Amino acid sequence: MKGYAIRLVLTLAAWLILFGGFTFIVDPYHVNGWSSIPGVNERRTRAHNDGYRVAVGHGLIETQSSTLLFGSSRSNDGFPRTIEDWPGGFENMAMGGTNAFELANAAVLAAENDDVDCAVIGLDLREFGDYPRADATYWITPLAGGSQLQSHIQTSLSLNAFARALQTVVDNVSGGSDERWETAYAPENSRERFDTELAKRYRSYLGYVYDPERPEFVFRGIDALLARGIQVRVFIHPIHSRIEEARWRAGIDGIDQQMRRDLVRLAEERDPAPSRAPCFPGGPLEVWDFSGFPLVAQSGPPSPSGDILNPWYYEPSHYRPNLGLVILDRMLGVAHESPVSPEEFGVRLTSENVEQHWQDVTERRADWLASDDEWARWVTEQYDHLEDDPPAIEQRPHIFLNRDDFISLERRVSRIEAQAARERERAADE
Amino acid sequence: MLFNSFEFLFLFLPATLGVYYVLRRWVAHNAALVALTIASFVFYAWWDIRYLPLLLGSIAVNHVLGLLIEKRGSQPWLAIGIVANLASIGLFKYADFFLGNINAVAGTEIPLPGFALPLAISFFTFQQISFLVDVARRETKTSGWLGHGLFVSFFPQLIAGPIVRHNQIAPQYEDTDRKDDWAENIGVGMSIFAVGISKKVLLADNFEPYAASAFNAAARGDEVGLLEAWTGALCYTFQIFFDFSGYSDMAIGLARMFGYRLPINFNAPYRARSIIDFWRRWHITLSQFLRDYLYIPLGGNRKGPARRAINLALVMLLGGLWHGAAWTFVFWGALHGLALAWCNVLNRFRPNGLIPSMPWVSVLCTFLFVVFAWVFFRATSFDAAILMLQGMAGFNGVGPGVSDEPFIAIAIGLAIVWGLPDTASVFKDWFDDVTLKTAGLVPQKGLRFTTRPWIAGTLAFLLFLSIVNAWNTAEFIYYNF
Repeated sequence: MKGYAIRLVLTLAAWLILFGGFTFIVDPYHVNGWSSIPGVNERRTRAHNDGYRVAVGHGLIETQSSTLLFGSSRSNDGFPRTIEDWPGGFENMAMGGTNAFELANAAVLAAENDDVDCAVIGLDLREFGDYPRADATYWITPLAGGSQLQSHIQTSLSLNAFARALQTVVDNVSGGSDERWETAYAPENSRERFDTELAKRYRSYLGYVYDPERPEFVFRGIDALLARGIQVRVFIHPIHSRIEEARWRAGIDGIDQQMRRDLVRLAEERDPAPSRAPCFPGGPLEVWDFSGFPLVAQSGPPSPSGDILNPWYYEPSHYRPNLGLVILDRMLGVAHESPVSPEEFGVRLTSENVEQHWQDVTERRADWLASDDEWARWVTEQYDHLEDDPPAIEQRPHIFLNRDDFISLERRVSRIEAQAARERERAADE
Repeated sequence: MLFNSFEFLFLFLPATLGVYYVLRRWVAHNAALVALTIASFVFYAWWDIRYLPLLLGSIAVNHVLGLLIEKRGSQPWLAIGIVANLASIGLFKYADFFLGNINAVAGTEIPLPGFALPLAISFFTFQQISFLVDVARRETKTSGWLGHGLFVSFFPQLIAGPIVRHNQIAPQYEDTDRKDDWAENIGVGMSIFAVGISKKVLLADNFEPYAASAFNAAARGDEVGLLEAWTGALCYTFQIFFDFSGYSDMAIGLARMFGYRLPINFNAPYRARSIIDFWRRWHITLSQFLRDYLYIPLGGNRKGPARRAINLALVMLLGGLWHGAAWTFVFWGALHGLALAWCNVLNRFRPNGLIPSMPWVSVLCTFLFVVFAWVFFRATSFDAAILMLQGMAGFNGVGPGVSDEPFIAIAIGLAIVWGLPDTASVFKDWFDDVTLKTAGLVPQKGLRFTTRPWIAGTLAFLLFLSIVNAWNTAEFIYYNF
């Protein structure tokens, strides 16, 4: 038996050390500053996608920027990584394919960083759908609540990270890369993506299920930011009208409206203390909507050759950083000219205007569809075809948040709120 | 702290094992027990330190009551102890349920206390009651504070069992002359743990999304189609088995790493040929608790068939309520109670099963009944359960298609539960005779654990695979009870 026990323990240790050591040294997500071996991992070809979470998890602990941007790939691609002249610094902490669960926990982690003064959170229906609550790599990052050291060990002992490490080494040895990723926004592919995105989104929206617990979950995470005096701006992404129309045709425009009502209600239920170092004019928490068929989202597609590009959008779901900067300007109160001037782009939502706003959106949609715009006609034809021959609804499990998700978030937020309350009392005493 | 969490696997367990064996070897047995008790309190407090005083209070009060019963006779101390234990579980677990029902029936507006359910309260309360009753029956003797503290709080079985009796474990703690065969403890313990964590991480957690998808749809009031309802119900059937039996295996393996032997809790329940047989194989320690402390005191089968049926129904109703404060759990218990009574009637006419030459018919019927009953156990309400059953009956049509994955998962689940022996059978040569006899283990044929090199390599690889897949696992189902 002694031989068996030793063999068992040593074999396990060998597996863990070899597996973990390889992943740690290759460091596919580039979270160790020191590891760069020519021909092995000099080019981090797989640090994107699921790697966003790992980088963001560590980034939220290490960053000294005062303003952080959160959100999905729309935030990630639609804003610069940093903004040079932003007071205190601006850093893009978005994660592709993220959702309410990850965003709430990212907000909590950001709240623990003393350098952070403002948080901008981009949201959309996707974040509140019944999709898996977290990417597999989320659990190996500090976002899940552990320390950076724990995250490094878990990352080294993660199947996802190991697979990315293997791909990284193969890419470095063979000179290859993740071409599909790198050419996603290539000009020559732009028109095709503008056109094919319609059917994809329509199918996705046909099977969309809104989970009303998810907005609540995000706002519980936002509570941690507010407790620490961090100013919060929540905004709805300006997706292109081509895609927004898919929601109406798939019959989920009512859900789109409900999401706005929920966001406004949740924001107004809160009574946060003044922000400690506000970056935007206005109160500690505001909700803005940049979608709803604005002129900029009605812009035409790129030319088939890719010589003429859409100035605002890579493709209908993802806008360009120049539009992201306009979003920030609008919330800062900086004036712009058409088609992104105040009366045409971006509305601050409140309980007083949310119903009227939706009425305006409905009218803008009707005007666009009734206009002479050739692309509005083309879009109508495309959706007519899809309605005549509807695609099969996506077959996937419907995931909802569970008791553990709420308990663990509540525990983290309550701790921050209690700590903030103690600090305020101490400050008041002094 | 979950058994499959980073902090448990890489910090808590190695540190506790190291300290325990160092103290056993170079200081004293009781010093090692003190370390083990403190570690168990840390393990419990990790979840929520606010409930640690409840655990400590339970230990102190029941220990004193045990001493009083031993020295001054059972009454009134036994009654006080049982009432106090039931009151604590009643307050934390059932107060909202009962007051909510009173409000609903009487139209009153009594405010609900809304206490959070302290982790493990159902398990340690039952252990305390069994301790007091056993002391009163002279079936066990009280141990010292340390022995009692560890009897209740020993971290492998604290949260979700197996439910251990005082006379099963206290003599092991008190045996100061025990010799440590650390190689066998670690070798066998780690091997059982490897099987348990694989059941949880590699199997149960992969069934969970398909089960949750169907049951959550029903909870939202959506119609569930035939395919989704059946895949959901079957996936939950496998999820709960692999989750809970995996937890029990991990608990038994962890205790064994320290040299202690916990009772067997599962023995291939989905191979049962009747519901009577099922309850001899599923959560064995709970079944035995209900039998010895409820069914037999109620009269058992000594007062005729009608009274036996009533006793069974009552015991299973309470067994259902023990799982959770909801009518769906009570109904699940009632279904099993009725099935037990029915099986007793059937046994008189068909003692060798429905079709003696085809025992698989009995296994299949039992399995389908268990699947049907799990619907009520998992559903969040009767409405949701009815929606699921309507879907399973085909009232909502075939419904939208379901991807291939749940079907593959179900095929794998069936192959494992019907094709492979359960953990207790695999390791039967490494359990002591008393443990095997107490569980009434009739081992299945097939794989047996030996110390061959390929088995060490396979189990090490299984453990390794489980660890690298463990970071995003769900909480154990029985943590909720």
